[in-house]
Amino acid sequence: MKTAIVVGSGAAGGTVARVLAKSGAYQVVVLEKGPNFFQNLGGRNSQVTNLFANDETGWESRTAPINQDPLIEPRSFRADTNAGDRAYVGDVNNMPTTVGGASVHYDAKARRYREVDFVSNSLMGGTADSPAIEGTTYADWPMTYDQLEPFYAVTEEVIGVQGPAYRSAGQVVNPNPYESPRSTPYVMPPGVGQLSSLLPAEAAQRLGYGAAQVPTSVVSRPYHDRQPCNDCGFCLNYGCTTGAKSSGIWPLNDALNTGRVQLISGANVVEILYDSPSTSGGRYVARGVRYLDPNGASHTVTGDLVVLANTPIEASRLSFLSGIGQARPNESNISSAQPMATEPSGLLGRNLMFHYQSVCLTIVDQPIHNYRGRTSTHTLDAFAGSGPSADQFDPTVPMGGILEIGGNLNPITEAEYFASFLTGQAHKDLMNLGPFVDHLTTFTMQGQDMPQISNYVDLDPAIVDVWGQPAPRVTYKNHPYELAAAGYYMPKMVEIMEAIGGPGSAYPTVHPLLVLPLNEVLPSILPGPIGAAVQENVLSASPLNDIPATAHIMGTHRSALDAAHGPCDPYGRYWAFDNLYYTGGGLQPTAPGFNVTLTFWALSYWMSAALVAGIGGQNSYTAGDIASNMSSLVKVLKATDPKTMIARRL
Amino acid sequence: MITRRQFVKAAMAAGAAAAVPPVFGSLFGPAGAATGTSTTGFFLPPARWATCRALCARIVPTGSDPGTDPGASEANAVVFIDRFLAAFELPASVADNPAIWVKGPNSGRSPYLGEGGEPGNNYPTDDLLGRDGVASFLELTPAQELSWRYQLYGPAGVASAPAFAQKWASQLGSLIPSPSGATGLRSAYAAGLDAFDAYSESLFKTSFAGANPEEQDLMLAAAGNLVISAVGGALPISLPTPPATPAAATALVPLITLHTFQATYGIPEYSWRNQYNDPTVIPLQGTAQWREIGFDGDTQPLGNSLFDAEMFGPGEGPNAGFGAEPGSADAAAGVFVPFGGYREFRPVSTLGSGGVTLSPADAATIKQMLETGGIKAK
Repeated sequence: MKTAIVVGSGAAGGTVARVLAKSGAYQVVVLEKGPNFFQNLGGRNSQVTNLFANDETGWESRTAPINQDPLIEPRSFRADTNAGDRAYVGDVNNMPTTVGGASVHYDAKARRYREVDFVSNSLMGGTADSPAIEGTTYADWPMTYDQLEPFYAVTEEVIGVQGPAYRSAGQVVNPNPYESPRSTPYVMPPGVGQLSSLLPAEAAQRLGYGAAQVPTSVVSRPYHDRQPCNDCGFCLNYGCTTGAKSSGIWPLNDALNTGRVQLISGANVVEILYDSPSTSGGRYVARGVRYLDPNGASHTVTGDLVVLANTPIEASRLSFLSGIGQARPNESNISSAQPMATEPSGLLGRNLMFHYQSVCLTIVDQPIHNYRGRTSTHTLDAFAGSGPSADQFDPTVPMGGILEIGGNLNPITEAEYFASFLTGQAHKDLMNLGPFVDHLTTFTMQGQDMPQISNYVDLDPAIVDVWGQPAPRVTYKNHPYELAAAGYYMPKMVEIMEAIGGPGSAYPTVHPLLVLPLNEVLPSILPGPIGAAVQENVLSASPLNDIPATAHIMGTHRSALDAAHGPCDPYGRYWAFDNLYYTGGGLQPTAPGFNVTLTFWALSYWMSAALVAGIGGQNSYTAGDIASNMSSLVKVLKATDPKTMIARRL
Repeated sequence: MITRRQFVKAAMAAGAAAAVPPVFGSLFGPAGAATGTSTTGFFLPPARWATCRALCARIVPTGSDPGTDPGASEANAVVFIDRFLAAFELPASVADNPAIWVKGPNSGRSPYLGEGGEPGNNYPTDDLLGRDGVASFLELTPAQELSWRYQLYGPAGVASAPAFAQKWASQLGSLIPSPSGATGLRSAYAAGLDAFDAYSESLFKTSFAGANPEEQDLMLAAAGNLVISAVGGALPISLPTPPATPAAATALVPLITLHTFQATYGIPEYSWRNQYNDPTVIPLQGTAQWREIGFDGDTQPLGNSLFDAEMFGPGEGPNAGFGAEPGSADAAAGVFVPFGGYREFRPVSTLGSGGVTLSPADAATIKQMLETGGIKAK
């Protein structure tokens, strides 16, 4: 039996551990940097409890106990290399670091990308060496939607995703007109819609848009020994006290139940251990990792392969700390790949992407209790770009992103906002009105973010974390494409919000307050002559949201058909290594405007199925190779999860 | 230095109160009733305790009826602050671990779901704060402890950091910005509270707690530069330029404002209050402060949407077409077949009772403030 070492216990790491362990061919050691707030892991799901709470003070107003505290794990940031060593130190898209990973805190939007999202570059006439969008490294993915679709489907069933697509007369009917075909319906129906999502969704439908209930990895029925969601109102940013949220903990618990998986929390992996090639032209061989325990003591774990399943930024840092990839690339040549023996693509850490979020905040006169529910229960995909099929693609339609509809906000946060303007009794009077806690609905557009070689992670030249390890540094600047797409869609967001009210509406008075890009204090851009305002205020300001806080992190480990175009092969392997892998959002060549987690969950199943099947390992691939490997991957899926609709259909 | 009489006269003569629109009409309202009998804490000695409590009472004031219009005093905000600042020094009779994050999952204010999909009669105990008054907090990792010791004590908090953290500790406050000032929150509070007292003595010849509510509001506003710069800028009012405020008082205002909000609008256990020891904390209704603003507070394990296993069978109602078809080969093979449905205990998908409908004037005021001040979106 082989031993696999998995770094990270979240959605990606839990999935890898589960698939490998269930195969019977692997024992797995899962190393998690953060603490463990779960109890009885390794038992039945119904026995797994936790120490989370519906506690705004501890989980939102303070740095949450599961979060990467920016004081002890600082990151530095600069917009470009002209900004000196750094322009900011602190929280740069820091993610939860805990057993179960960042999916412990997310609000669990479980979106698939569409057929076009995997091939947009070629649909626009681009090639691997000549991207369709100037100033980017825009690229097709090494796999297609059809190839990844079974892994989306099995993930939805394994973790428990509710959604609107159902089966009728043997066919899958999808109320969301913007999605690509599905093999199977959802395994359980959507839960209760929340009013702050329903109102804009209904307004959008009146305007001819197809807003729909959003697939969400929160169980709406008793599922695999877990309780159904009860819409407690503490979803985004909170650990789920009842276990209804389908976080990475559930596949991890499946993995632990095999008896072949060991979980070590508080294990901060700081070095990948490997041997140099034994022959000329041969590959490096990973033999284990070194980690620091919570008291700083060093430990070594050895194994037959190493899978990095931590965030793209942390996986890049760990690689750099281990001599893999350019820890500090030559800044004067930052627009070029900088290959080295351990990392022949020269692109590790590059093409870092976050989504470009824009919001439209609207106040409804009636109290719509937006603090209840699953943060947002509906989305509108109309602004993600044309599609979903290749023959529906129109390059003149900007690729923005989905609108998350609803949102909630709790009172300490509201009180902090209003303290900027008011104090004392006047502040209290406003709190009693509760404009944000009780009257707010929002659109949040998850705008597609262009890959750029000059947006990257490296090691800060001076700053260290609490363990004395060099901190990651993010160099990142928006591309005009995402700014223009945001500017194009923001007036439409206001138009939909305004349609909530009006004659005949049960909600006659609504007040779109402002529409703006997130993450930074900006002048508000108000309804009215908004097109001009957007042009002036959004597009002329650079950089906007210069310290990203989207919690959607992609790229740095782009998967590609060959080493000239990305650091990882289509199955996550580092090209120079026999047995070092990455899995997660880092593999994404592009950042389609949908929530990211389900895709990297599916990619993790995909890459671990490849490991079990023994495929991959080539020096380069063709599209034909990927296609011919599909039957082997599917065979693993069917063996791993035979009690799923997708396994029985394949 | 102006006299107390001159300061108050100048402020009132500016016509500030008369010019304030209705929503701000009680800006200079009466002080709330103080609650609690403690005069000292684990960190705050009596004089600072009194000043802290008086400041909290002006940040979220109490109305004429503390039962229906409670403020920070009724929330025991001073207890919240004192025990947070003493997080690492609380005896075992008060807390089991450093008082940073309460340990869940349940407060015991909501019951478990009953058999028939209705709220049951079985309430969990309060995992956060027991009947013995001992609060349960999460155990900190060594790194988290270093972070919070630094935030509370400043550089002294990490002076004896273990070897692995020495280089990091040397960068705190320089390469790595401090989120809590140069000397930590405890020093900021001690100096700030003393500064407010000195400020009050210089203006009004009395301690801050001894000043009247109007005087306290003026000092707080001057130190915080809140009403003067923000509201004054947004509204057609003018207030006098205040005398120079002590820097330590100014530095304290954002800290104590945030902590007062946390104490008032957050979960009550951080102030060692719950339904066992405070009659205003009521199961299924939460705290008086939450009731006042129309917020449910924590709701687990009941939540808002209640699942009823009997409501719809497999293949019925909302379950039709999801998962395996009942009776199919897929179902026989173990593919999931959904059943049941939801009813809403508190309205989630529809309007319900409770909450305030905004008047046109309210909405206009809110919009004006946001437009004027911009908004920091998360």
